[in-house]
This record gives sequence, structure tokens and C-alpha cells, in this order.
Amino acid sequence: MIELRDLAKTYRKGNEPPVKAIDHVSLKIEQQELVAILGPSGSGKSTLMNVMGLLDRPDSGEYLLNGKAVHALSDDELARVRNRFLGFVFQSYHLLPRTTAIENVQLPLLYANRKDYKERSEAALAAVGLSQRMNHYAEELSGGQQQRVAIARAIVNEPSVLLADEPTGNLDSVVSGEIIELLKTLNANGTTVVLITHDLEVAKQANRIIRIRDGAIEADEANVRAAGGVE
Amino acid sequence: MNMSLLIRSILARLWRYKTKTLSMGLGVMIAVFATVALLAIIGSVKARFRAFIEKSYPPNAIVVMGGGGPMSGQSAGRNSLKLADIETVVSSLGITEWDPILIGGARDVKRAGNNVRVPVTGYSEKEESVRGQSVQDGEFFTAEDVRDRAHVALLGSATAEALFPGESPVGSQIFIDNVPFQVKGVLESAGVGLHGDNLDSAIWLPYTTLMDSILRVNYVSGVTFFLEDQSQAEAGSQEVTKILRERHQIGEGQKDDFSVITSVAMLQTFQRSFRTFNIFIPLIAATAFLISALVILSIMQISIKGRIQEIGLRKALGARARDLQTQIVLEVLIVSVIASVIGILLAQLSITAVAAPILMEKLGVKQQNPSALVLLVAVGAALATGLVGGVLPARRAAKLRPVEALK
Repeated sequence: MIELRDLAKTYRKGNEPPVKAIDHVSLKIEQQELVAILGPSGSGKSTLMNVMGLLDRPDSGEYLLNGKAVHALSDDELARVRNRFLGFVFQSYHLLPRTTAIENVQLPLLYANRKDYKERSEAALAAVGLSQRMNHYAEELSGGQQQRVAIARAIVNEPSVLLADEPTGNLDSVVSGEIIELLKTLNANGTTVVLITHDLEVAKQANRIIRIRDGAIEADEANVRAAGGVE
Repeated sequence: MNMSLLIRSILARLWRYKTKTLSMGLGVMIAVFATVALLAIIGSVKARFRAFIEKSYPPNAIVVMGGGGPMSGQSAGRNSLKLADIETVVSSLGITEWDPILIGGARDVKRAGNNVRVPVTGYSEKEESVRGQSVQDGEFFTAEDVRDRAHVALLGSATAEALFPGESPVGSQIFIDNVPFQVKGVLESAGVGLHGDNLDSAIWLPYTTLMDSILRVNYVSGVTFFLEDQSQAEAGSQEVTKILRERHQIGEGQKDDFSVITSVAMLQTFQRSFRTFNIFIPLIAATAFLISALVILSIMQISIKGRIQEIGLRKALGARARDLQTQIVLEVLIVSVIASVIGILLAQLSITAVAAPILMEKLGVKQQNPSALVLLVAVGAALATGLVGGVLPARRAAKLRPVEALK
């Protein structure tokens, strides 16, 4: 599903020494995996997430998504690939204010030019258990509900990969558990899920844990303790 | 992109951010309002002046005034036009129809206990057909009245009401400067003159009677000659000038003590006096639109700074640069269209509710509705304004990189 080959990205800022955010990383994520990318802040995991999400370009290396090389695509082509194949969940939800839950969920469909946007967005909200809150403004919802709306938005276009960047970072432990359960359910239904976190307890929910430090993979192992772990 | 979904979400956004929308649209609204209202009102005033000129100076007419003419403001030579001058012109140009005017100024008019001061003017019996103003009561004076210097008078409707409240004045006696006159008729209402004067507060006398019995003068203020063939007006006016200069013994290089006016000359004067408007109104309108474009531009720039996260998110979710441009330009265009429609409605409202009654009362101008062209130009300018104000911020927004915008 996702294959990174010798990927590298370095940040240069003024006279400061350059920072190797991704230091020649190669990894493979298979279809329907639930992978956690675990690392402390500044480890480069967010840069990795941005590159994997096609929000940022690597300096060198290759990126194959669904077997297709995407590191050299134009901006417009990247936008199309993001829209078709990737779903994003952010720590701070990134919902549009003064916009209802269902309108937020419909955003990807606007750019996918789908005629059935009503049915699809209603179904996505139902899948995250928020059918009753469709017409509430984003800011009227609790944190957990906002993150559910964000997840509905991420899955509304039926992506191949869901990239979740610290999805529980702003939530208490009970609600965090619910969100992780929701991601696991989506994974069980066929979506590949990449979970970026600094929290070992969250990472332990995944089937596979990739540890990142200083932009490089420190460890990559199957997590046998996770329910349904296969490797 | 799904256009219907886009437009729906833009409308929802404009409604939810009312203050921002209002401040964006206000400039366009005012510019459209001012342009439409000004053009419509000036258009009506212009039409009224043109109608007046065309009525006073028909294409086959040559108007001669003693002195510098109606717009000169000078009084020298006002008494230069004698009846013998008129007779000479009439016989040498073979003119069959002519109508003099003698301005008598305001006179004391008495009837029993009622005293008024009314402008008195002398005409021939031709005035009825020439100006198309007849009597609503009684009769117009006749050629015989003019020839015999009859002491008959026609009252304007307002004067008749002032002197004879609630009764018909026809056949009654009045005194003008203590000279007795018999009221022969009451004129049809003429409304308000170009200077805001009430044309119904007036008394018309045969010009011969006014000359001999009231003013005791041997001249008239002016005369209108009517030619059979209007193409001869220009040549005729030169002929008239030649005859009068000869008769008034005006030497080479000396100025005329009279003025000769044709409809062509009058319409030129008229066009000249409106030229200022023709230049300045578009200039004012363009300035207004430019300012509103700058307002939209700066508000959108500020707005986009506050929407960087939204733009980054939209890019992450699959918006291409041109999708974002389309969205922002459409936002501005929709605001401009709505604002210009409101501006037009406000202009229409203020024209019918405020401007039209005032114009009617003060100038006798019948307010016409703004023409389709005016509306088209106003909406076109509003759209152009929106584009000018929207394209730059849209391009800026489209250039943002998603990873930077999402931080």
C-alpha cells in the first residue's frame, strides 16, 4: 500500500545547523495494516506523516502509493491523489468554524465532484455515531465529537489510507479510548490506518509499532499484545 | 469541483459572516447606488431641458431677442427690437408666421379686495398654436384683439384662483397698474418652469396693448419667426442678422445689439452646458468603484490571513490551486452582484420616494426610471470591481503550501 525507499528531508533555517527530519527512511506498509509511528516530539514523525500524506515533498528518495510513484507528481496531481486515496485526522481536528458537522464532512466531496454528497456524508456521520449532530456547528460539539466529525470527513471519500496525527492528543483518556476503538473498527472494515503518536499506550493499540528517533527508524516490530495482532 | 455544492457553501458562509460580507459589499452598493441615482436624475433633468428647448426653439424657428439674448444676462440693447425691424424681416424673408414676446415684469393686479403681484407678458394670438398652450376657460385673444390693442387679459390658473377664489373670472374686470382689463380666459396649467417658477402665476396680454397701455414702449423683447422650410433656418438667421445690423446702423467690428438663435445653436449650447456632467459623472462613478475595489481587496487580504488554516485544510483534502481561486473569486463576485442589486433597489427607491417629488415640484421634471443600459453598466462595473478586488487575494491563497498553512 505504502512503500518508502530511502526517503530523506532536511530542514535548513538561517545559520542554524541543518536538521535531518527524515534520514534515509525505507519502510513498507501493507494493505489493512494498523501501524503506529511512535516517537518523541522533534523525532521527525510529523515530517514523515506530512510526506506520507503528500502535504510535503521529500528531498530525495521514492514514494510508492498503491504501487504508483507519487514523489514526482505535480501539485494538482498530488491534490487529486490526496483527495482520492488519503484521509487525514489531526490533533486539533481542523474543522471549519461556523460550519455544520455535515458541511465539514462534505468538504472532500466538493473537490471529488460527487453528486451523491448528501448520502455519503450522512452515511459517514452515521458510521462515527453522530447522525444526531449533523446540523450542529463544529464549535457546538465536544472535543470527542469534533474528532468524530473529522474522522467522518477523513473516510467520506473511502480512502485507502487513513493518516491520524496524534488523534487523541487533545482528549481525555475515556474519549481517547473511544476514538482509538473507532479507528480500529475502520481498520477492521478494510482501511489501512497509520497512527502517529508520542504516546506508547496509544501505540500499543496498533498491530505494528515503528519507533522513530532523529529522523530514522529505531525499531520496527509487530505488537503481539494488540488484539487481532497477526505478525 | 461540485459547483452547486460550492455555491451553497459560499452562500452559507456569506450569511454566517454577515459583518465581513457587509463591509465587503458596502462599497459596491454605494457606488452602484450613486451611479444609478445620479445618471437617472441627470438624465431626467436633461430630458426636461431638451424638451423645453425643442418646444421654445423648434427646428424651423429663428428667435431674435433684443440685447444679448436669453442667457447673456446683459441688459444693454434690450429695447433694440422695434416692430418696424420685424416687418422688414417678415417681408424680405417672405415669412408668414411670427410671434413676438414682450416681457412686462411683475405688475400690481387688483380685483375688488384681492391684490397680487404677477409677471405680465405680451404675445400675439399665434402663441396659442405656437406653444400649444390654450385656455381651460373662456377664449384666447384674437388677431383683432392684438390689432385693436384690446384691454383683454388671460390669467394663469394660479392667478385666477388667487383673484377669483372659487369662481370663474371670465368676463370680470381687473386692474393692472390701475388700467382696467376684461378677463377673456384662464390658461391651461403649465406647471413649473426651468427655474422653479410657477408658470401658472401669470397674466398674458396682447403685446400691442402691453406696449401702449402699461409699459409705454416702442419695442418688444423678442420675436420668433417660423420658416416654411427648416433647412433654411441657418441661412435665414444670417439674413436676419444682416438686415438688423443694417437697420440698427451697426458698423463693421461692432457687436450686435440683438441676438439671433436657432434650434441648432440652442441645442449646441445645451450640449455644452451638460458636457461637465458627461465628464464628471463617469469620473465620480469610476472613483467610487475603484475605492470599493480597494476595500474589497484589503478586506479579502485580511480575511485570507485569518483563513490560512482553512486554505491549508482544503488543500489537504484535495483542493487544487485553481479550485481555491475559483472559490474566492466567486465569493467576491456573489457579494458584488448582491450588493449591486441592493444598490439598484435603493437607487430606485430614493428616486421614486425622494428625488421624483422634489424634481417635480422644483423643476417640473418628470423623473424617468433608470435605463437598462445604466443598470447594465452599474452591474458590470460592480463585477469588474469584484474581480479586481478578488483575484489578487485568490492568487495569494492558492499559492499557500498545505503543510505551512496547517501548522
